[in-house]
Amino acid sequence: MSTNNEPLSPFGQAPPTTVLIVEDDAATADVFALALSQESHNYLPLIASTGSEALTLVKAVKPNLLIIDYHLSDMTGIAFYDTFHALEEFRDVPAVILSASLALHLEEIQARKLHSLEKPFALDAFLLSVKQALAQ
Amino acid sequence: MLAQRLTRRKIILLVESNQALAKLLHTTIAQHTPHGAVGVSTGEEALRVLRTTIPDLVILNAELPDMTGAHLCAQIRRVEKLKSLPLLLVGTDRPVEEALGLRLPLRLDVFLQTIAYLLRA
Repeated sequence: MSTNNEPLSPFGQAPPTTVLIVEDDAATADVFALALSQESHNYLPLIASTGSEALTLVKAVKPNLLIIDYHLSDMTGIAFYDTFHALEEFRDVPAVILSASLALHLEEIQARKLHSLEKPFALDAFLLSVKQALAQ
Repeated sequence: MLAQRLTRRKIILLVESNQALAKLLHTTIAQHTPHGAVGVSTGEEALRVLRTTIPDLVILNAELPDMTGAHLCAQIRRVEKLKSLPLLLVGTDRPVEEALGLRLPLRLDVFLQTIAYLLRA
């Protein structure tokens, strides 16, 4: 399944869609990574447990999509997104932000045109949000 | 889209502190079902995952290091969105909170049949 409009790789397959999961709970991040891997072989999940770890990781690999927990241990998901998004090469990368209290953060989420999911959410809703964000 | 949703491979949250048993159950699920499992070893770790996302099934030991399986089931059922989440207790055949139970020693054929039943569309 191709999740983007990029041409086929030299190996005849769609290139991987790298999804960077920024989530401080390791088991939760593993659930997201497994759900993505099961949904499509093209999804390539990467996990960072803090905002600063994610900012280091993106220096090495440009993600196609970010999944960001609102409450990270070292910064808010919004602060992470702002730092990430300020870099010219990442302006086009969509993001889905996860929060147990979306209503409290609605203004800052809408101002940045982020996709959002209210916790706890079903995995079908998660995968649908991923597809919608990648299609934008 | 609907057909795709119905055929999505499922995700099981495995709550088991006995590392050997956790590994065996993980391997059984990986090799004998189309589904996948993510493991945690305590009730609190399981609740942390469930505060964010809802797996398709939770398999939990009846005796966890920080709480009983029955207590964890009760905590799960308190959350509105988790009231219909399928639960399988390993280590007891006493049903609690609409969880099915399997006694130890586990028969893996029965274990797999129970998973298939709980994950039926």
